[in-house]
Amino acid sequence: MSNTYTKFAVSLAVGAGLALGVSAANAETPKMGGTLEFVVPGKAPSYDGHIETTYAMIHRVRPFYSLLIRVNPDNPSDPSDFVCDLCDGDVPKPTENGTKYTFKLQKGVKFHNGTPLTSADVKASFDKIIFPPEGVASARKSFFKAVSSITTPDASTIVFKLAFPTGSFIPALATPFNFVYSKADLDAHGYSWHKMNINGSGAFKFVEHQKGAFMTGVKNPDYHLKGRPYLDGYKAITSAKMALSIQAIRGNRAAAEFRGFPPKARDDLVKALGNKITVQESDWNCVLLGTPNNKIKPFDDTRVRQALTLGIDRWSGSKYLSKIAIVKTVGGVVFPSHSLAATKEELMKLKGYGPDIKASRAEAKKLLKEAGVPGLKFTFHNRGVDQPYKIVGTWMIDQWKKTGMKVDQQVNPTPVFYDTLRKKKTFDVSVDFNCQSVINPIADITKFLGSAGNNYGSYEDQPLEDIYNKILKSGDVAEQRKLIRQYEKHALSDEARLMISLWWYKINPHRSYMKGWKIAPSHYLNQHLDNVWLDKS
Amino acid sequence: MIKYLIKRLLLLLPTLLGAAVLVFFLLRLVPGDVCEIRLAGTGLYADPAEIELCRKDLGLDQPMFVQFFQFLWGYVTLDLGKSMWTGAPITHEISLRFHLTLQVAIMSTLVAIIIAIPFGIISAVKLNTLIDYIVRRFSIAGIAMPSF
Repeated sequence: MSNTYTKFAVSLAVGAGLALGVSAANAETPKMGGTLEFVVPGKAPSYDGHIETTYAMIHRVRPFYSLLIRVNPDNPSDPSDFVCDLCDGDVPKPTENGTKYTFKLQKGVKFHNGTPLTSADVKASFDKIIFPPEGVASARKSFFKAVSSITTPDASTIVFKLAFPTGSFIPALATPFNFVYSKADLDAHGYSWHKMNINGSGAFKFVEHQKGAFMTGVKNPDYHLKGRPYLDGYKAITSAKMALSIQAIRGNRAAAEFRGFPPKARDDLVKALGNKITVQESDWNCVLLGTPNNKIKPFDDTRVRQALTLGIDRWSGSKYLSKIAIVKTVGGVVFPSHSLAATKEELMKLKGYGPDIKASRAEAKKLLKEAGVPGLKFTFHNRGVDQPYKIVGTWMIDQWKKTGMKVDQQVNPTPVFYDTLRKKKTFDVSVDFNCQSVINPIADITKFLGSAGNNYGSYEDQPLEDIYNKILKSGDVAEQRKLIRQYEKHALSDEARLMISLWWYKINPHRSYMKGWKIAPSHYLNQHLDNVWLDKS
Repeated sequence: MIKYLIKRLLLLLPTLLGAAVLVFFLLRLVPGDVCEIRLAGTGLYADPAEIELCRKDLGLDQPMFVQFFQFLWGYVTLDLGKSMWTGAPITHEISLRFHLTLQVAIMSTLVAIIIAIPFGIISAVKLNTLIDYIVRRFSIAGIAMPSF
């Protein structure tokens, strides 16, 4: 008996040891050391996160700074998973009927110049963002309209008081541009200092910036997340053209480019490098729109706008365009994989999203005839950039032609395109787009409001504004979802103010030795690099 | 020789001024707004008030003749103003790039001299021979090649 038990115990022990050993081997252990080199295909006007809007600044400068909260770096694809960066513990739940957020800060955090980081610094940073003095720019001030005050009861506590509860506050707070600056720097040097100077508390310290060439950072040994960063440093190499970025990765001069490549570039890299390349893909928090000029005939007629959206076969377009362009998912006003987004069944109830394109196009032709413009002729205004504007624009024109419309395309270089779209508004129908960083549906859907600063459709739609105000002030997720469906139906279907073509799709092929980085649904997110390591073994 | 040098140096001033005036008007007359592109070029939402603040900061909200006067005055007082793209002083932007630009300029001039002078001499000495034709073709090909 004892022999049997002994044998059984030994077998159990060996089996357990084998299982644990295999698990340990499968779970990747971050390796310390090395310098990550990556390419950045764009220019950053300045280093100030509070005024800039370009990913080119984020990719280069974000690793030098900390935020109060951020998207979970281990789960960046979840649009509602936020974690503390400078704050301690979990992201706090609001109190006082959803109007008060109290954050406790981690202790012992220092800026790169050695000075301690306290709640006064966080307050000073958010005062600059939310309540900037006159003449001081703040690109995302409007995200924080609900904030009525910021107070600091003690050196490690900061309290945000809202005028009304809103689900958009926490995502706004996690925006990767909300760098925490030293109050001492702001007091001593003013509000322009951070445009050309860097003193953060992030995982890396600034070393050098050779404009037009590269920017380098070195590991911060006093970083508040112990054990990180894993890298010794990084080098962000400036790359003027996409072909250069692709060749840099192919030739192992760089491990990655964090913005994204079109499908062909991915396929070429995989074909050339095989398992030396890892590809991560994700829906992208950018959407390509068609904006009819609601102010001019015949686009002031709802039937004509509905005909435009009915003519587009989004479901087939998704299948074929995703092979050649950085677009893929059919969606409504909310980022497709967010819990507030419409399901496929809900989308199919909207004009332009039906499963039967023949029926949709027949309806479109009927509406055009009723509106007195059968065989409508117009000019489609597009931006002179291939991905995805010209590709998707050309496809949209083809879709309209199949609906009996005659469409010319006018392609303009970017500055002229913006001038026509945003200032002169002398277009019939124009391509437009809406890109955001943190997925914040309640803020992001304002694009469809006629009153929005980034809406170029030239219309007033009070019923839509009323629905939005209810969404903004609703603290209940189920109610928000119901209201957003009403909003979506009104904006895209009943009035067809703007039309969504397809949501963008992010493709990031990178060298397989770069580990830890997880693709996020935005090229602005998850770029702090403190969880990235290199395994060149 | 000295007279010639002085003359050429004096010609430098109107040439530079002419080029600067041309660039001034081209930047302002061509459609497009640098503040729009800077703040809203990537598709992220940009508050129109912020775009207007940027334009005010760069003086782009002023009438054209006011901007032109400020521009000329800047030349007189050696105040080159701010970069429209970065908002930093132009002198700062130049200083960031100056040493590398100087290095490239010197190196390219040296390489050009090292190649051009000997080949030029050879071509002159062996005028209208095969060597001369080869050197001439090489020179023309070099000039015709786009400088990527």
